[in-house]
Amino acid sequence: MRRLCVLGNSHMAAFATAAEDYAARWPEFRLDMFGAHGDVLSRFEVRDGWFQSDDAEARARIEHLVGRDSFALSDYDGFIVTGLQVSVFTFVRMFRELSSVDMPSVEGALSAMEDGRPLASKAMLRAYGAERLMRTSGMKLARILRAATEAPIFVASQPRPSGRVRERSGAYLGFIQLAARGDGEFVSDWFDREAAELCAAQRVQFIPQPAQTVEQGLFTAESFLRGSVRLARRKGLAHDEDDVLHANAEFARLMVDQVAVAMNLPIAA
Amino acid sequence: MSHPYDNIPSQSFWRSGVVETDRQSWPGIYRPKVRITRDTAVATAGSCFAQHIGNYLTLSGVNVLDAEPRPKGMSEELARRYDYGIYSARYGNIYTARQMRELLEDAMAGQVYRRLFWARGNRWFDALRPGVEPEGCESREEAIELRREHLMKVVSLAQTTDVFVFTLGLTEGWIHSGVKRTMAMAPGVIAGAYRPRRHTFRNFTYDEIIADLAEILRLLRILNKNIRLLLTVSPVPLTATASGQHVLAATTHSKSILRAAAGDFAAAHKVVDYFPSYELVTTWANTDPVFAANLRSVRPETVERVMEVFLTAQGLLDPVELNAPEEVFDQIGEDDDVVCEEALLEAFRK
Repeated sequence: MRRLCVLGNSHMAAFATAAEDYAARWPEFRLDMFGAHGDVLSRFEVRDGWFQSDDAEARARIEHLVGRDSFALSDYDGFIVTGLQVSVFTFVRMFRELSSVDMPSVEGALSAMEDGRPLASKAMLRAYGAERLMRTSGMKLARILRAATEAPIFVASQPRPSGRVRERSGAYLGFIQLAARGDGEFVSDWFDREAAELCAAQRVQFIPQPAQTVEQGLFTAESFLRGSVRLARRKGLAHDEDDVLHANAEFARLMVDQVAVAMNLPIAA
Repeated sequence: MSHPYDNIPSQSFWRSGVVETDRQSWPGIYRPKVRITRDTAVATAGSCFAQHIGNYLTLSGVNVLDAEPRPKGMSEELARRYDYGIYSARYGNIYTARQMRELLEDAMAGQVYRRLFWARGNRWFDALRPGVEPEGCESREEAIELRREHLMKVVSLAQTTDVFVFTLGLTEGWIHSGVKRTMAMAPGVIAGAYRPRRHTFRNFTYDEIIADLAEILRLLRILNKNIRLLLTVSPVPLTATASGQHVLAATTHSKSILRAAAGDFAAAHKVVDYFPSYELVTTWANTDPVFAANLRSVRPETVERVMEVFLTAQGLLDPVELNAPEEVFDQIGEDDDVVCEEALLEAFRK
C-alpha cells in the first residue's frame, strides 16, 4: 500500500472526506492529511528530511486538526498540494487589470482602453502571471518539497468559485465582469495552461480542475460544491449555505483519480 | 576705462566660475527658466540619461507622470524588463529629436506602420521601441495593437503634462526609407535584418535638430497649450558610430551639435529651458572619475552630484530628500542600472 500526503488549507477538507468515502476506489494507496487553515503551512520547512516548524502556534494548529505536527518525507510515495491560492483567482485579478488581444471581448487597443484594461503582450502576461502564481503558498510549498524529495508532487487546482458569486460583488467583481464579457473560458484556459507549464518547470505536476466540474470557465458547478465540509477536527461539519469557495468530496475524488492515473495506480470501478 | 566684462558676475569668469568655485554645487550654473515644484506634472523621455532625471524627480516628491504604469503587484525587476517605470510611457529610449518628433506626429495621427514591425524567428518587435517587449510579440497584429495603445497613451500624457523633460542623446539614426520613420536602433541589433537600400543612415545636422525641436514644441503645444519643455543632453558617449569617423570624434561631433541646438533652442523660447547636465558630467574641471570602467556609464555619485545641482536650483532639495538618491543605487546597483538599448551594439564590437 502506497502512501500519499495531502497538504493544504481549508480546501484539504474535501480530500479528507474523499479519502474516507472513496477509500475502496484506490486500493493501492491511501491518503494522509497534513494542513490547517490559512497560511499555517508557510511556517513549515524541510529539515533533516522532516517537514516541520519552529513555530509553536503553527505546530499546535496542525496537530489539533491532524493529530501530528511533523512528518518524515520518506514516509510517503507522493505529495498532493491543494488550495493555498493555486487558483484561477490569480489570473482573474490579472485579467481584471490587463487584457490580451486574443480575449473574446477585446477588439483592439481602443476597446481595451475603453474598458480600462490596457493591452499587454502575451509574453508579458505570461511572465507576470507566472510571477504571481509563484508567490502563492501552494507553489512555494511545492518548491520546498521538490528541493527535498524526488517523490511525485502534485499541485491540485483550487476549485473555481460557485456561479453564485454573480449575485455578489466585492472580491468577485473580476469574475463577474470577465464572465459577463465572455472572457471566462479564455481566463480559465490561460490558468490551466500556465499553471501546468509552471509546475512542469518546477518538476511537479499540475492537476487541473476536471472539465465536467467547470461552468463558463470561471465557476464550479453547484453539484461539486454542495455538501462541502469544513476543515475541522469534527468530521462532516458542513460549510454555511452561502459558502461559494469550497468543493465537496466528489470534486476531490475526481482530483485524486487524476493523481492515480498519473502514478499509474489502479482505480476500482 | 570701462569694458564689457566690468560688471558681469563671477561665474562668467573661468577662474572664479570654475577653478575657484565649489565644484560640487556649481553656484550659478543653472538658473531655472522653467520652474518645477512638487505639484508640477512632469513627463520624461529621451536618451538613457533621462532615466536618472525621472528617478531623482520622483524621489524628490515631484509628480512624475506615468501614462503606462506597471501592473499592480508586478515586481520591480519584471517591470523594468518590460520597460515600465523607466520613462513616463513605455517608449523606450528616444535617442534623437527626430524620433521624438515622429512619435508625436504618429501619436496625434494614430498612425501605425505595418512595415515597422520586425520579425525574429516567429516573434514580432516594434521597430520604434524594440526593447520594451524583450521576447517580442506572438503576432504582428498583437504588436500593432500594442503600439496603437501606446500612441493613445502618449497623447494623453502630453495633454496632462506641465513640463516635458527631453534628453537628447544622439545625432545618428537609421531611417526606414519606405515609411520615412527613424528607428530606435539599427535593424538587426534586436530584430529585423539590415537592408542597405531600405535602411539609410542619417547623421542629423544642427539645422535639422533645431527644426525637429521646433516641431516637437509645436506638437506638444497643440496637445497642451501650457506645456513647457526642459532639454538636457546626455553625456553618455556613442557605443558605436556608423559615420565612418573615429567613435571619439563622432561622439564629440554629435554631442557638440546637440548641446548647441539645445542651448540655442532654449534661448529662443520662453517656455523652453536647458539644464547643463552634459557640462557638469563632461567638464575637465572634474577631478574625480565621472565614468565607470567602460568610460560610457556615468558613475552613480556623478549622477547624484549633477541632480543635486538641478534639484537645488529648482528648490526641490531638502534634508529629507538628501539621502534619497542612495536608495536608487541600493535598489538598482551598479552603473549599468539604466536601460540602454544602444549598449547592445557593444555585442557587435570588433
